[in-house]
Amino acid sequence: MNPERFGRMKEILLTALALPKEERAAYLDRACGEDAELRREVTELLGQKDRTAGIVKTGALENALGEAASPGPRPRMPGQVGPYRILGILGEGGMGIVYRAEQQVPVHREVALKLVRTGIDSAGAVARFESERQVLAIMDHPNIARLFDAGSEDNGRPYFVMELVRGVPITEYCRANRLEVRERVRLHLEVCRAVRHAHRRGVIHRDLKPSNVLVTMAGGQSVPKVIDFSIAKALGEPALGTEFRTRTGQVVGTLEYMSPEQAAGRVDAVDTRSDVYALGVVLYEMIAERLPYDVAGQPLPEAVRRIAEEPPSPLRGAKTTATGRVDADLHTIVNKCLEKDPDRRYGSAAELVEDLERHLDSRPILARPPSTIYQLRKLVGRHRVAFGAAALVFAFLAVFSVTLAVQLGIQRRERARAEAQARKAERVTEFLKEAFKAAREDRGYDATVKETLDAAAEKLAKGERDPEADVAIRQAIGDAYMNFGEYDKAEWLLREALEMQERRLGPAHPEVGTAHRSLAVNFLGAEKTEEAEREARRALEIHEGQRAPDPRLVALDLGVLGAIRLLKYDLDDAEPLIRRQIALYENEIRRSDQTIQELATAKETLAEVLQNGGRVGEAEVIVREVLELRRRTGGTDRTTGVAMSLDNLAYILTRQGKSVDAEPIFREALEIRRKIRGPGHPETAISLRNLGLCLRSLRRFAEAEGALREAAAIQLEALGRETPGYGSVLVELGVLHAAQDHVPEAERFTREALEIQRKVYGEEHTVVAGGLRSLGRILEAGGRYDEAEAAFRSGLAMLEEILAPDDVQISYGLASVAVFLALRGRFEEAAPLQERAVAIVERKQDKDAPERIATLGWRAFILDGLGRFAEAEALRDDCLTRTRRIFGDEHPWIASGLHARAMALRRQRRFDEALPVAREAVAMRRKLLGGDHKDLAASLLELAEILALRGDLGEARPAAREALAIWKKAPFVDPPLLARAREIAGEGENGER
Amino acid sequence: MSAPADRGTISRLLRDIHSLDEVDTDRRNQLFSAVYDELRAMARQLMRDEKAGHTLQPTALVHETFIRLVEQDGATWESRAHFFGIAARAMRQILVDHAREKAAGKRGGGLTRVSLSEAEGSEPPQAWEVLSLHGALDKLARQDARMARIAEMRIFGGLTGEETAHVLRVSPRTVDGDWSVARLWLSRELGAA
Repeated sequence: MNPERFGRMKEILLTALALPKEERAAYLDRACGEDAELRREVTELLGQKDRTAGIVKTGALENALGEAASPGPRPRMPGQVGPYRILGILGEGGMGIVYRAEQQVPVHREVALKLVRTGIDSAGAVARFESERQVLAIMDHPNIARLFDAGSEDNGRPYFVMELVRGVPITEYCRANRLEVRERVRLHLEVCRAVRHAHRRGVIHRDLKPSNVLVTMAGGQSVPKVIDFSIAKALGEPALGTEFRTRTGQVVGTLEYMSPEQAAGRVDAVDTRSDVYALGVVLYEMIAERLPYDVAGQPLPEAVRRIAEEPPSPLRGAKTTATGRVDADLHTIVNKCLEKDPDRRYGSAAELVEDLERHLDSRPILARPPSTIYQLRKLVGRHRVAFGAAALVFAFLAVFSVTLAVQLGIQRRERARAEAQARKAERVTEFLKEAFKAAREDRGYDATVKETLDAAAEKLAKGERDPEADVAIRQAIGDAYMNFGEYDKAEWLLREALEMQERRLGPAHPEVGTAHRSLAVNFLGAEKTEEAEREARRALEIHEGQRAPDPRLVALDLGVLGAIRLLKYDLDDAEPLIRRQIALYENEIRRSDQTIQELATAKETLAEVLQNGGRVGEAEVIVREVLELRRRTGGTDRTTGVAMSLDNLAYILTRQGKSVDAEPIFREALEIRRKIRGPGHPETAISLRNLGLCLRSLRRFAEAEGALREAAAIQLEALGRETPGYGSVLVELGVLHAAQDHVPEAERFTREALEIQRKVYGEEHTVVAGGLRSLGRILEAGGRYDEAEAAFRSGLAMLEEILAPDDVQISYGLASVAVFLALRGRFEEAAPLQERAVAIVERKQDKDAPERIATLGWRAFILDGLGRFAEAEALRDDCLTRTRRIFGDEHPWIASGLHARAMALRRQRRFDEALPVAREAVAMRRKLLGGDHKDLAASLLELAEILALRGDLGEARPAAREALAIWKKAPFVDPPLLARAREIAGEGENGER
Repeated sequence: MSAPADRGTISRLLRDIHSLDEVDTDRRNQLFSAVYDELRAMARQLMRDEKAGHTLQPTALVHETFIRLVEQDGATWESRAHFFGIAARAMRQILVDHAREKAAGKRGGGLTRVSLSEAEGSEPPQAWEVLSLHGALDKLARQDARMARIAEMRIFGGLTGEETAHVLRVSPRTVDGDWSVARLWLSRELGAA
């Protein structure tokens, strides 16, 4: 044929291929006319459609490089194999050909005989089979094809003799009989039970697919049977590896049912969950009548990549002969089987059976929270990076690395250079994975990941992919940045993504709304509440404005708005938003793993709202509800969601001052985390830290130190020294020692923490400023006033440098300097600073915010110092009332307020009024802080002064002496205080009377 | 093997390529030589290894070569496609050479595991299959050069439809159409069972 004719032929052929079969003949008549040769050519080629040669099918050549020597003749059927007479061919498997054979002894019957192909470690296989013959033969289950015998030919090739199952592949059966969805599921359930039977006996199939699950008739009933079970095990791993690499047609066929870990050649990662995955694919195919991933015709690396990274095509809406609905639960079950990460699948066939049974029974399926949900502690709007988006970034950035890892999984012989490459590739991939999972601030700041992200962001700028990928990549990287606290970079990317979405879909599309929400969450993390609110409102507007609003999207928007309100301490507005969100989850949104988690989170947020509003009792009830929810749906053995809820509960109890009750709960959470995550896992460190803080508040300092040190060690080991987590534990250790007046230790820890914070966050950062404040307090406690003042002022300067002037954190900085000055009696200097602090919190925070109360309380103290007693008292009164409401009647803050009041009254010479107040302060401090706390000493001195001024030296002296006794043990005491106490006690400098 | 300097050169060469059928044959040849040498060296390495269980696929080899020869940082999606376009041809050449040597009986030892006189239908492609394919592609090229090129890239280089389309500067639809026909045509040529 010459090129012109060929070209013509090609066009006709393509058109014909696109037509339904019935219409082809007519078309060919028209197109070819009299040209018989042309028509013959086209017809021949059309006929090739179903017989494409393996070498060409996927376009990949397997083993073309190394395969064995002589070109041989076409396959022939042997007459006899062992004692079995071969009657015909049943089919081909990847491991060999399956013949129909006749068995004479001990029983005369037809059997299936699989002759294993060469290249498989035959001697080993037979030996393995022999040793396991008992187990395999005993696997007696109605849905598993029995294995009768095994042997080897003279030349060493093994064969296996199995029950002959005459049937059709299960997918075929469903389609041919037009079963409805429910029946298909029931059929699949039987198969799962069979696999469960095998799993219980420690046997993994490894090669489940429709051609290995045949439906046969027995006694008028359709019976699915799993074949090839034992052989997979007997042949062991190398066989699977070989199979994977055999003829292209075969490989793709098997590849499509392979779990990502199998496809990547990581045969050591194959376990029961790989079978679960395959079962998922089979179920998918039974229902949708197509495969979840389009790998047909793809070159091998691409096929593997798709399996490893692409999300499966949606199950619902597939064109299929199955009648009946595919409801959300079924969808969830299938997806759970198909999870890329084996940890997120059902752990074994047994769990899958259970959920299928529940589904058929119309009971709620067991929702197991994905193990990789980390929840931002501060943020309430849960934000989970879609795996699909992440996968696209993999494809973009790591396609080389992933491909290489895949290849290297296969070609295990490369050394040196290849190993280094693989390590690097795996690390990059792993780092990227971590980037997308890590969301906790305590997780650890991995600079390498950040660099990778930066590189990714840069590469983005260099070229466009297709629009959807572009958006998804930006969103994914933006989310990752956000999770690392790089809010500015994230904002930039998320905005771009938003704009692109808007251009592509129009400004009122739900996906655009979701993009607004992502931005909102980012702003929330950066505490830019105004911007966050604006974006979140827009998102809500868009989602509510749809013709058929999706309640889940609306719910998520409400969640973010609620979180914003919560951050601003706008509790009255936050509560109805969250309640509305909860109502949506409880009434309108479909229950699934994910949505149950979201509901739990929303409830937790509500609890926080209530808590902060002082309605701690109600909050506790809700937290307990959430705990129950998590326990029931998660099961304590596989989730740390329960641990988190326990943490929350314990925290609420702590806030109510019920540290004693909280302790066992913290311990329980710790145990769970230890068990599930392991003793060296960062989450365990978090629990240890919480426990440490709890014990510290109970003043069991030695135990607290133990827990905190252990937490530090774990953080150090698991995440490294220069990480926020490690830094923050050091801070707590500093506080621990400060509380015990161990000034040198406290200073050491705090300085080290500060150094780390500088390295992790940069020289100027709010966290570093906080560290400076901590250091200042410790130096102050040690009497090193000049250094302390310098530290406080540095911290403030830093905050003023990096933050907007009305940022709440600046108020902390201002307050730290002001309070320090006030305590030194430098009220005039303190006043303007504190006024500025007050101005900020009055604008930014709700009246019941503890920080605000504290700030105002100090203002009152300063007013006292300036002699403006009436103003001070009014203010202090208000603060005390609010504090009582939140913390109850007994709390160190209240004692401080009383102490200040007593002092103020004394200075106004209102001794009679001052006395009871001072007594109350002493009593409360004694009770809450213990008998040797320096604050108690201060109050005792105050009491002593008042008594002395009333002329009541008899009582005054003992009080003063007690104060002195306490101060004896302290590392440092303000000299004037000491002097005053001695005066009243009648003691000289050396304690003489 | 390639020194870092080579990688730089090759990256640069790739970067400047806009079309594989560029006039600048010098550059094209340079690239081809480099790729061919690398591929062949790697393939030899594998075949020398006695215990080799035929674990390597040509497309894997091509990927590996890409990573060795091209600086990852500068590599764009486009240059990668071009690279693979060249590598596909090189790979084909290598396979054909190898197949010829095998067929002529020069190779052996270490590769043959078990006698395949009773070869089964599901055997991997034999040397003769590679040669047949090679011949068939040549024949196809005489009738439709572009179609043959597409087939070569997909089969030997593992390129996707999109990448092929990019390299040849045609639309993906065209590539799909050609590939569909190529598959049928080659199947018939190779006498599929």
